[in-house]
Amino acid sequence: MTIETRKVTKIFWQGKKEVVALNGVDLVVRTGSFVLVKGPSGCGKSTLLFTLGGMLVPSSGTVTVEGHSLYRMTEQERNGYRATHIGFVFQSYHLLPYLTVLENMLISRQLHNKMVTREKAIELAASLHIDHRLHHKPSGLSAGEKQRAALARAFITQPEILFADEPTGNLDPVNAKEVIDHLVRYHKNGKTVIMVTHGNEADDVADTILSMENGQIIHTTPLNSTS
Amino acid sequence: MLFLKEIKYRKWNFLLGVLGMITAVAVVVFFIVMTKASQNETRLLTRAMGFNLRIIPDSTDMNKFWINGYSNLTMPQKYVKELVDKKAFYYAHLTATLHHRITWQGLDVVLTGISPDELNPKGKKKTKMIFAVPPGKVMVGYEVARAAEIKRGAKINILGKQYTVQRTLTETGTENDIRIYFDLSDLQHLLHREGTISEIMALNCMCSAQGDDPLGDLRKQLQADLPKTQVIMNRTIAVAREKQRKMMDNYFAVLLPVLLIISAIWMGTLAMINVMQRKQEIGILRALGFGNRHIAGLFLSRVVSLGILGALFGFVAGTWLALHYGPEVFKVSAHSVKPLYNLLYWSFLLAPLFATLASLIPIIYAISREPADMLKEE
Repeated sequence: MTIETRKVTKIFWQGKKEVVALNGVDLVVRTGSFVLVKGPSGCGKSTLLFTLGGMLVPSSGTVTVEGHSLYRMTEQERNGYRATHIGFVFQSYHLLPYLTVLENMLISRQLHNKMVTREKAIELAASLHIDHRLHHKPSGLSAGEKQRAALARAFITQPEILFADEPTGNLDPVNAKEVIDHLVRYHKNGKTVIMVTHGNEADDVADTILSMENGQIIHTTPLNSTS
Repeated sequence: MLFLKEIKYRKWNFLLGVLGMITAVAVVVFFIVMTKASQNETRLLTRAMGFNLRIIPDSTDMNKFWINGYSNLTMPQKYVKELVDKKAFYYAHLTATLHHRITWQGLDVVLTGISPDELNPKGKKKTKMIFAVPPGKVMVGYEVARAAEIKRGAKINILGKQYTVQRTLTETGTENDIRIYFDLSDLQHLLHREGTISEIMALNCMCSAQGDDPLGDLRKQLQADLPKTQVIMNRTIAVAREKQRKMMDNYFAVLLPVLLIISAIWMGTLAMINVMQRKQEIGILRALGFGNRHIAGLFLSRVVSLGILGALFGFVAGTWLALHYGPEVFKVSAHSVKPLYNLLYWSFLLAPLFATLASLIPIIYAISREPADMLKEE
């Protein structure tokens, strides 16, 4: 799925003060890309990620997915798009604290997603090395295990595009490397990964690095082209 | 069930919400049961004060009426039925009486005939306010019995006819102590006044009185339905009865809104706390593709559960409090403080609705924010 933005701007208001989080961003992310978004804190990386993921309505400009304008869709259509085509992983994991790892993975079953089965969840958990934690709640997991559980929840619907917002930000180097390895494996199945990061741990595997500053993409660095 | 797992996880917030709901329902149930008990108590206490309305022939000389204590004139007995049929006013008890003063054994006595049929509004069974005297028998007032040394079972002759004394009455400290009570038909026959009565006594609760002049309203109503009568009201009894009845209504009218507002704020605050605690959860659910209906459903399931539990335990608590403290407060009608089971039905209906309304703002907040906003780190 190709995502394209045209002159996307996002303005927030802090009281009467205008904060321009995205300033006329033009971008094309092709199917199967592994894109890193880098830049200093507050430069608009996460805002860009949320806007591309259908989670934040831009103040102006358009975001299209396979030629369909994301924000011209109805709320229901956009929910459907997120449920079937998009996956998210966050720095803070955002696992539901009152559900076990397995229940977190199966949460999309509530949306009648037939792809999500218990057997698939168990298999996926084994591949992410958290099968021994399936019946534990997030409070009983280590940081690495939490992030792997979050990856499992994102992977289970096999989304075309995976957005990862600093997924290694809270992890030690060993766990960070493991998470990157899982993302790379996922990407190798032909999926698109767009990852916000401060670090360089994924530079070797990404095909593009977008450098941002003050809400703008100031530099696009092509690395290993896979498509 | 996702919402049940969340309730279990954030049980203290939920329990505090249930506690708020229990308090609200319990106080409402307690007040309604107590109000009902208070009304019974008032009814019994004011009933003991006697009838408060007297309907007499319209050409009665009122000066003589007050001197004698009754009207010398009579009116047709059928007026009683007409009054009932025309539903001229709200009454609780309606009794036809005939009075006649004589000198008997050197004593001034009032012969009073009482109809055995005390009429009540259709479909309402009420305890009789006044006794019935069996035909051929009399009941003798305290002062007459004392002065004439009459005992129960004695045979006495009045105006040439013999009667058995059914009972001698205890001292009342009123003109009733110089009465001899008859069955109405017996006295009509004795005085050759068949089919006539001196007055109709009634107990009126003034429930339907809207204006400042209930007696004026009543007179207008009776003027239309029974033009040859006039009505006298014992204001002391009527007003005492009405004031007592309105007192609990007023308490309830003031306390109920205050209580409901406090409960609504309490539950709304807890719902807001719950929403704020769950901001990121809402965000992630939205990221996973859950729509507004799903998210609202999670919160609504929670508040409806809270309302149902609050209704059940609130009803039990409120009823228990009323049954425990009611008899202490209402000595006369203690036995009539009973659970009102229809309140359970209303509690189950209204408590979840109330909890939902109280939580509406937090729920709208939860579903109206952009998903990304909810995921922001604080």
